[in-house]
Amino acid sequence: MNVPPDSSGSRPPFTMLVLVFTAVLGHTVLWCGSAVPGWVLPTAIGLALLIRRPQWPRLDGWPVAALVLLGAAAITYGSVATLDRSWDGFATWSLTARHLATGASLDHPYFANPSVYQSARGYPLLQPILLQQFTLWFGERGGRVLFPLLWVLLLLAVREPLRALGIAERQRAFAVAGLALVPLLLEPGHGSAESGFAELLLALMLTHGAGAIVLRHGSLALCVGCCLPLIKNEGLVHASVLIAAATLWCSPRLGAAFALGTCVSLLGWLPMQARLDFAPYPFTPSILLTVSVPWLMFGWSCAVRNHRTRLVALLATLAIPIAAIYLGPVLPSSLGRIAQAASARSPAWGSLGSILATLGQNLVWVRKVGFSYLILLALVAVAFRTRTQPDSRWQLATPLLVVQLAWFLFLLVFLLTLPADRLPLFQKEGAARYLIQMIGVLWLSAGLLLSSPPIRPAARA
Amino acid sequence: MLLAAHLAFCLARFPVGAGQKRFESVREWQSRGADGWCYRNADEATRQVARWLCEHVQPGQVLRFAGSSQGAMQLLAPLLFPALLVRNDSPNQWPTDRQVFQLAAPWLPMPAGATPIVKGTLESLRIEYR
Repeated sequence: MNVPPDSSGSRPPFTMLVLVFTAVLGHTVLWCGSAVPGWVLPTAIGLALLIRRPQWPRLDGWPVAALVLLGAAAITYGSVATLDRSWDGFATWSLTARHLATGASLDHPYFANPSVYQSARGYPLLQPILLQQFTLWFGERGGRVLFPLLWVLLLLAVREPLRALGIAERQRAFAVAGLALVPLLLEPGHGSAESGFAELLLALMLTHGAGAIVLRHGSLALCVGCCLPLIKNEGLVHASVLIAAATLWCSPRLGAAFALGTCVSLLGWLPMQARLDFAPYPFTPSILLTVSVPWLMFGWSCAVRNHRTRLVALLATLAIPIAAIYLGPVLPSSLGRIAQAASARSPAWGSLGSILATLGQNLVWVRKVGFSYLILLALVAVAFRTRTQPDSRWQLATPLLVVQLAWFLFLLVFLLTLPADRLPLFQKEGAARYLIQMIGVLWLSAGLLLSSPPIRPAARA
Repeated sequence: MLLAAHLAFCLARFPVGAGQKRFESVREWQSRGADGWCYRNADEATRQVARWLCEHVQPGQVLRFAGSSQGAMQLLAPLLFPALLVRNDSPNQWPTDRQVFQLAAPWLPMPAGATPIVKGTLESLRIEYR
């Protein structure tokens, strides 16, 4: 069980290919100065069909299927009955999609005129492009069927790697049902599946990233790397962590696939983002520096992996925070903004207790995430004790646990470097939404660890 | 046991959380209208401004705004879609192919030669003339 199937020759899931082709075509058309036409999605589907045939989604047993059907029906009703009923979805992501759907190109005043109000200037465009495509085909309300579709794809993104690894049907069913019932996604409100926020799409992509790691799936890693920076600004942070986890715990080849996808995506997206932000030049040294972040992370991970260079690399790690502070002002991404904030003002150590309490509260907030994090912690504790046994899945789940821990630590740093007047809002509204980005990875890890081997007397002793 | 607790707790929430709560929010959105829903926690004057603007700003127009771009103003932009909000004191030129919204609010007399501006704070919207 510790050795995953070799997926180097297999192809990414059909829906993942559709997402990548839609992203590439949509952004290319925008770069060329046109509005995104309705043929982008059908063309993306056609191109994906050339590579892989779609499979009818299968769930494990009728109770899970019924649960998913009920959940999807509820989310569909909530999505299509009205426009977004949540602030960010209404005011940022979906507003951009509605402008794109009326035929706006990057020359439209909404994007091109600095005097025109836009609360999401420079936000990534993959979700707006997807929603715009669905709107063109199914109408303004009908197009919002995108959200329940993404929710179902998130469940399948947990189920498929577990199936490919030969995990028992019962465990898969528990993992999928556990994720399907997470209240924050299932119920209406900020960050829910129908809210129009980009958290759902990001959670889907991260789950595919985790799937790529446990399956050693290079082409899936490439696709995930391509999409992450196009969904939210923190996509670069997630991609960097996936690169390190894949390189250190799997193979440099897999890490390189993540890095290549991220780098290509950043090369296309950052100049466009600079244009949307009214930066004077599309290509600047800072953009080139940001594009190199995936390869810097890959190089560092390779150095840590190698016995001969490990010590030097780990010592050099100490220099990374210092370098980040000096390089922060020239990094035009979320990484740069955080580093810049950290250098401009000292972290709010006085708020550390309150921030830790907020994050801790969100981890055990049963009304939002149920018992998800408690289940993971319990499974980790059991799996750690049995990690030396031959059929233990500890090795397989370790990179996924590291990815989640790294995100938690990043959130801690992010909140510590926020201005004092913005911290309460982020603590109240943001923390749960940021943590939910990892919910698919969490349930994939839980699915792997659900049936750890029984603790032997020797292990107990 | 934790897994059973998770499934049981979330399943028990399903009828109320995923069902009733959703029906109620949809019903409230439909009965109040988009503007009423967005400003349901704002004061009456803000709701009046939002309602009046939604009724009178035409798709091809631009509406001048001033004050905070955060808070209440963030919801006005999607409510007036596809009309655009333009910052009154912006040094950049406004979109030239669009007409500026010129209508006077019925509850506030407009001086001759002035145009209406919506002024935003974190929690409120008001109409002014400049």
